[in-house]
Amino acid sequence: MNRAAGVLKMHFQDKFGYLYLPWIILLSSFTVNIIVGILVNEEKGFYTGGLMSIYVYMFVMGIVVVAQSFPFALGFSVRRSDYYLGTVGLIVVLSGIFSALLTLFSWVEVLTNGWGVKLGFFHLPYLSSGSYVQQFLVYFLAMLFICLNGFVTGSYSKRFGKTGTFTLFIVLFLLGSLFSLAMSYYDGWADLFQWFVGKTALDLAVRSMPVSIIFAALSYLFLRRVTV
Amino acid sequence: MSSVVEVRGLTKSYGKESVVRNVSFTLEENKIYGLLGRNGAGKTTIMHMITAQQFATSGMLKVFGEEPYENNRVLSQVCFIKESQKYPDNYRVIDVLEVAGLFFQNWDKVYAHALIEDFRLPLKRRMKKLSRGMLSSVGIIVGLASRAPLTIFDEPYLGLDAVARGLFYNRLIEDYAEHPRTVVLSTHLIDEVSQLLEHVMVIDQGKLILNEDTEVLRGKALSVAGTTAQVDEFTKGREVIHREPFGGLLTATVVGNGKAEDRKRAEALGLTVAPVSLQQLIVHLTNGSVRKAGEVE
Repeated sequence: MNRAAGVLKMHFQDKFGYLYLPWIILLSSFTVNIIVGILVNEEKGFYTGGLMSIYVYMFVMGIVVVAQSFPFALGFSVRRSDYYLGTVGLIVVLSGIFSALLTLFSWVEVLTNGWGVKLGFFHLPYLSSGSYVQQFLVYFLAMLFICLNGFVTGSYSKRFGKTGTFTLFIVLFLLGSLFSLAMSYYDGWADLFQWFVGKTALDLAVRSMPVSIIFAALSYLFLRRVTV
Repeated sequence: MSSVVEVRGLTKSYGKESVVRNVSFTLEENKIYGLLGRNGAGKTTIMHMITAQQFATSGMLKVFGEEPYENNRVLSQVCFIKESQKYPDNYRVIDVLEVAGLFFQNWDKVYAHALIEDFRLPLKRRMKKLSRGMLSSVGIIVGLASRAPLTIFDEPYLGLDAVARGLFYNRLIEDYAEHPRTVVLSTHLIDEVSQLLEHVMVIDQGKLILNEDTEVLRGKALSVAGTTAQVDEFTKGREVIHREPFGGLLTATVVGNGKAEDRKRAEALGLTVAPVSLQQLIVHLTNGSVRKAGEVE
């Protein structure tokens, strides 16, 4: 049997953690918002950021998946590259399923005029503009980006340990400060905002792809040299 | 090809400190090996390198004739059960067995479930909630039911009671008879496994200090029992490894030349000749370097 597919199956052995839990969290938030919607009965309707919860979950999942399953898989005679492929597979499959569900919920939300209480939970201004295919792509690419960002963080810390992770964040913080200083000095902020304002959500989502790919490639380089 | 593992000049260092120093050995097909040595001697590190979970600093390492690193032809034939194996937090016992079936090609699900009964493990319990002994049992079950051509048990019985350990040895021998494979047992309990081992390797401070067939080892010593006078007569001028007086009687283990004359002479003197304890022998041959380890549990 293909051992990368085996790794994917291995991850799905824990359906609760990877499939159900993020939706339990998201739908809890949704339920609370529906109740709030019924109670306040807002004339013009209202939007919430509850959708963020699933993205935060996916980021954390990307970090935690390495520590949770990499030493286990290696101990069960799995190659590092198979682990990597199977886990990237998990991230892609989950992002695909979740984004499709989000798009479906968004469609129902529009259809029912905000679940009867004018609630904007899945269908949000800016993010959900365009066709449903476009919406799906925005959800999907954003989720991939965020989850692979978590994955590269988790792989890095597995590779370089606590000290390495600590060093990385100090370096990132310094670089961030330098960048912000330079931007202020050269009056770059306005241009940057202008650039963002001119882009649709889909534009930005598509532009995240190269970064996502870099995250994925770096994760592989880190995992290749991890020992137990 | 009968050589399963071939190691030449294997060395692992962290900075200036070497944990494995210039180790060379060969493991042959379908034999049971004992890898013995004290804590921190480097046993686990060697096994981690064989399974490509850690990298050697220098030296040659071939498993089934190939480099093990990122090599599925090798890794799919290897099952390494270690005391420090980690499991995902949400996994139950049953999940571990299901996953084992994904990665070990000879996995026998029916056998695994029979072993679960033998060891009385709760299938639905989460790994996190298992006692130390139960956790060890899960490892043992995976190791046995994987039937991997190279199966390595590293201290597999931490927290296991004597009954469960006996069960492990019995099942191992039974299954080994039906499905021969190469087994490496790393252990402190030399006497408990001495009947199982066909070959013994002793590691001390990263060095391989003994590498011998059990039969040959046993031939190197002789245990005799009789009256004190008779035994003293026999042991005069010989190296005595062990003396155990009991009333007017004495049991002594002496270094022999491995030939039948010794045995005949002892019998002529009216002494009872008994098999030698492998533990005593190893302790003696390694100048006591494994004595502490042998006495730990």
